[in-house]
Amino acid sequence: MSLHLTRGALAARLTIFAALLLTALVMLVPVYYMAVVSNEPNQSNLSAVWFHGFHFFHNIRLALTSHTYLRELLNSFIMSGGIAFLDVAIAGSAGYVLATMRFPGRRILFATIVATLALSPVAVVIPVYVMMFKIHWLNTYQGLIIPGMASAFGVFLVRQFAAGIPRQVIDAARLDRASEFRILLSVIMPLIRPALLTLFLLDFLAQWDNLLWPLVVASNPNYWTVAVGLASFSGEHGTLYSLLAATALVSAIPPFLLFVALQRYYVSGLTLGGLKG
Amino acid sequence: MASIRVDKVTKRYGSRLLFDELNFAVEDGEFMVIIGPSGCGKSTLLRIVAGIETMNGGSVVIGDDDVSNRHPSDRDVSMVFQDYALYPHMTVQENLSFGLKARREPRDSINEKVLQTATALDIHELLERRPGQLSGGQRQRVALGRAMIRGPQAYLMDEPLSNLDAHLRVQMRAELIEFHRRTSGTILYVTHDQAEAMTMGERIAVMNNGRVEQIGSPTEIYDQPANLFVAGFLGSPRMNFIRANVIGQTKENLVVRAGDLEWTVPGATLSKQTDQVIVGFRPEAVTGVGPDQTLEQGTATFARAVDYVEHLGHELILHLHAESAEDPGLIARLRVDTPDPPHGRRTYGVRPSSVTIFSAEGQAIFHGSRIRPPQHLAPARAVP
Repeated sequence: MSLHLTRGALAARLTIFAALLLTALVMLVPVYYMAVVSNEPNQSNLSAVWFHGFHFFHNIRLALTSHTYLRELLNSFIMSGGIAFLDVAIAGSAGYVLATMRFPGRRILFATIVATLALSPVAVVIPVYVMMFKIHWLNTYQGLIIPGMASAFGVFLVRQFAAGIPRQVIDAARLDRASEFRILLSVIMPLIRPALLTLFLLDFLAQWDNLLWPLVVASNPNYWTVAVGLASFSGEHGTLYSLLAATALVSAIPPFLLFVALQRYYVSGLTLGGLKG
Repeated sequence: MASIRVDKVTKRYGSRLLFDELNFAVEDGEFMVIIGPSGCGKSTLLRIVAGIETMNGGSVVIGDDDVSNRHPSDRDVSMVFQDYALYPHMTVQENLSFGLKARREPRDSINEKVLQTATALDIHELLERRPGQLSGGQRQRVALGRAMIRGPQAYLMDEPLSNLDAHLRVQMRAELIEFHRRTSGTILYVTHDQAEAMTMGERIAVMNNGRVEQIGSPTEIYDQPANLFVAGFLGSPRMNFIRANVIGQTKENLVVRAGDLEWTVPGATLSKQTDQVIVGFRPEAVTGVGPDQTLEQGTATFARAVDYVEHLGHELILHLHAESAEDPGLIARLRVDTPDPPHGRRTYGVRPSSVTIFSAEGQAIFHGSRIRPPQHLAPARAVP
């Protein structure tokens, strides 16, 4: 960035900053509002605009006693973590193989996998539900996790990233007498780590927010996730907004921390950073 | 160290046939250079030997072992790649030791070998750096070190110097020759650079369109090209070719004429009756001819104007004016200190001992170098 800006360039830059700042503030308004409501003493009051005292912990305590919130938190971790982990393992290997190995039908296979991205997840909810029902996986962890454990997007992401690894590096490792497994572990994995961590993060965030599938597959509250739990605050007798806001705020902490931890890879993963050297 | 033999190797890319039963051999301890234009299959051949490219038939023998069906890791050859292919996430130390670790050598032995190799290549101070922090020449050395640390049966090198600047390339060329002298390793080296082939190869294989056109020492390849392709490929500016008619043939002599150029070539015979031949001579074979100069018997003399001159500092490249339809426009290469700066029209000569005669199909049928008195042929390079 140049230190000497002309008057016009400075004005332009200030305008851009102002616009960005405004946009950021607009994005943060719901978060602010959630913080306000989560501190409301009156559980059904939605019209508060300013803080009326600090009742956050009171509300949280109420939520914890009236609900299976801790269990939902645990379930969310199991489901989001499980799916993210399995997707990284499965889509990661598939993407790597599709990028680096030659076998008949490779292109068609990849095209088919990518084509499923066009399919709305909502469209397959019913058939998958029926399958889960038939194999008695409703209200089970495997029912929550297995259907989401391999994503076409993951295969695509890793494949594009792994395609950037120079073929000669893999050849060199083969000539260095490394087994295919060793090559995967000590050459490929470190090189595609940004893609794998990005995929883990995206999966975890998406599953943490996933309401539809756990709602469909788990009718037993023991298998509810946070998203389902939050939705259950609104019932026939009205909605407990302050409890909902307080638990939603707490629920946002784990993905937020994960994002902060992996943000570096997230960015480099999305730009599909090249391999230099 | 071991020899390499490629027997009847066939390679297809879809419907395109690249190698049709190709045969090729490198002797134990030999520095063999494969040279050829882009797409001639030279790198593919190297990769087939390494086992990182499949073949559709034939066999690859390294030493006494047929390795055709072996995984690259079981062939015990190492390869230096054009863009080095170092492991970008590993330090130099890790790059060098990767192959040894994969073979589960004891740690002490690994450390010792790494230090030894790094010292030999003068990269021992870079052991903690990553490839991204190295210059091109340093990366090249690391790649070389990674290849040599295991002490393989043979080294395969795929244009390893092509990414270096000119100065460094000359230096690395000398180092590779020294490396070969020290290790007496079998080296199969692929390049498209003539200077590399001529300076480093003990033997050179010239490839074209998936075929080996000729194998021989650098002098043989240069002085006695087997056909038009080899003759035209090596040498810059390239050899002059001119269509000629056989106008007389006796037991001792062959007389050929191309426009105003006429040679009487002693000792040349045609195996079959033919009228049409192609005469080739290198630009440096063209000399200026003074009025009272005595010429080798049978020399063709001709007068030409100069279209333009390239001054290259140490030599002049003359583009002579084409005087007739069959004259392709001859090129002459003269020393800078040639008397009479060659500008206007003047007389040039080409001795019969400097020409190569090709059949109309392009096969060499006579090499003038055979009748040339041996004067400059002692190779300066081959000091044991």
